[in-house]
This record gives sequence, structure tokens and C-alpha cells, in this order.
Amino acid sequence: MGYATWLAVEPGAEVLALTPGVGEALRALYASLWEAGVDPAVLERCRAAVEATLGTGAREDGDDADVATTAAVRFSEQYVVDAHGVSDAQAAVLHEHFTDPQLAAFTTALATFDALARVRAVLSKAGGTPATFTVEEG
Amino acid sequence: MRFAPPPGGESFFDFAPGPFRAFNVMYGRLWSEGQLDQPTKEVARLRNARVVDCGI
Repeated sequence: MGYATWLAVEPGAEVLALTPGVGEALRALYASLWEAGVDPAVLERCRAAVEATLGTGAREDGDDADVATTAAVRFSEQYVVDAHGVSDAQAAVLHEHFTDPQLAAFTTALATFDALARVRAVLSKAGGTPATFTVEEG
Repeated sequence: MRFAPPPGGESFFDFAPGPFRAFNVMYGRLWSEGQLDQPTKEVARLRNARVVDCGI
């Protein structure tokens, strides 16, 4: 992923290396999200929906999504726009399709996806210094 | 309550102990490490909470 920043770093620098302890913990958190019992395909759809809603990623075609994925994506979009706007009906639909452990992992993932997208966006600058901001393993 | 904690738990996130533990480790390091002083971090936290109308 091409990324450029206004931060005063050397070209090719890893932004999270500026805070190595936090960066390491953030990567551990990110990895844990995908191993906590929620279908990774659902998480990826929601991650993409967060990015699209914030304007930092492309909108994916969700016509083929099942009911559970659609509910998770709509919840994600509402979270990004206004978390207080989540309705009882939206919460009830999620409970129909996901267990409590899955919902706890899912909402932690959602908060992490939202925070990462916002931080990447606020530190980015078109034409800035080429850098990386990587939390994904491998 | 839309998302109630498990029996004996204090937070809904107790349902997902792995991610919750990882989050708390990361959050603790945010406050205890780095070159930015804690009062400045607290100002940012309060400002952010106020903007999104979070009472925590």
C-alpha cells in the first residue's frame, strides 16, 4: 500500500517504529482480532466498510453478502458516522447472527479498524515522504 | 442492555479475553511509553471524548 506522510521521517520509514512498544502491542492486538472466533471474511468486509465510510478506501460491492455480514457492515458504517446512532434494532439483529464472544471481538475489531484508518489518514499527505504504516503480519 | 457483560464480568469485552487483554496492553503502553507527556495525552483524550459525546 502506497503511503506518504507529512511526518519528518526518512523515506521508507515505518511510522509505528517511532513508538516501538506501542507499535508492537498494536500489532498483537490486530492479530488477535482475526483469531477470536469471527469469520475473517466478515471482518474484512467491515474493515473495508470503515475505510470506505471514512473516505480512505474504495466502496466494495456488497450485493453478495449474507444477512449476518450485511448486519455487521451496516453496524460498522453507523459506528463510523455516529456511534450514538446505533439502534436497538441493529443491536438485536447482530445478536441473532453472532454470539456474545463474537460480538465482543467484533466491536473491538471495529474500534481498531476505525482508529487505524483515522490515524493513517491524519498522518498522511499526498506528495509527502514515502513511508509505511503496517500493522498486518506478513 | 444491548451488550451485557458475562456473569462475573465487568465489561462486555470480557467475552473476548484475548483481544481485550491485547487492547489493554496496547492502551497501557500508550500512556506509559513514548515521548509525549501524560497531561498532553489526557487533554487529547478528553477533547476526543467530548467531540464524540463519550462520558467515559
